[in-house]
Amino acid sequence: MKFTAEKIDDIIVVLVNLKRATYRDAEEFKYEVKNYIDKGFLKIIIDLNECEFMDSTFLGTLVFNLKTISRLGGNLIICSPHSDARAILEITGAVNIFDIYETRSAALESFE
Amino acid sequence: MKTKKQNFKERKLKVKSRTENLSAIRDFVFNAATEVGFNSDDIGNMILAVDEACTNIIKHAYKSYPDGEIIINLKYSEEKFTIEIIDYGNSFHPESVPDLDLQKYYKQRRVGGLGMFLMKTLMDEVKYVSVPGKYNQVLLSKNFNS
Repeated sequence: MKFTAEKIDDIIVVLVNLKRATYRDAEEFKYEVKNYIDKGFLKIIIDLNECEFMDSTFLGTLVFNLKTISRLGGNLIICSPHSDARAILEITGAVNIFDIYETRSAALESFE
Repeated sequence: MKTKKQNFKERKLKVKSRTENLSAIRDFVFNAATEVGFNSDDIGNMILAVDEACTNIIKHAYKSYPDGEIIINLKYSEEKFTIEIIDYGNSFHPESVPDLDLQKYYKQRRVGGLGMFLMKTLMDEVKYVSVPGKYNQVLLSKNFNS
């Protein structure tokens, strides 16, 4: 499974099971997450713990989903980014638009 | 000034436009950049920029056609290390890609442009030459004293 979703109360946690999250899987990921938003989930955590690298196309899908959920009054947050994935988030300025937490538990707590 | 341990002036790799070849491209750049003495941060940045450039070629120039040709030429002088990437796919017009501000990107409905932004940020110089119907050339340069 490239992506594993877990429902915790009204929160969906999507674990990205890809060492390299790139444009190859970006479209599938985009609609995987959008599907939860369409079902009415407005609290989504993207867990990057397994992900060592993310390219700009994959980051673009995160921004797309953040835009979508924000318009509906929800939030999509990121947790556990490794150094290379974090570097892309920092270089692009994505750290300024996403809420990013070091651990999944900290991300879950932020929705309480 | 970094220490240049090897004296190669030019090195070439030719691969098909397939994503499974991106790792060979990364290894190729990693090995050469290591040989000429860049630190791991600079090498990481170069590899990321090359990855973005080649992904753009596969996605946009060749539109995921797997048998297009991508040629990577590595060159260095006293001043800089240059990665030249050539493809024979659809031409690209970088001037049509505005400079990215992710805050604006987030607020607008526009998609794309992130890869170009990353390349410009990670490298000291990015140049595009596109000769429609013939070839596209991307030049990514990193200065030794940056």
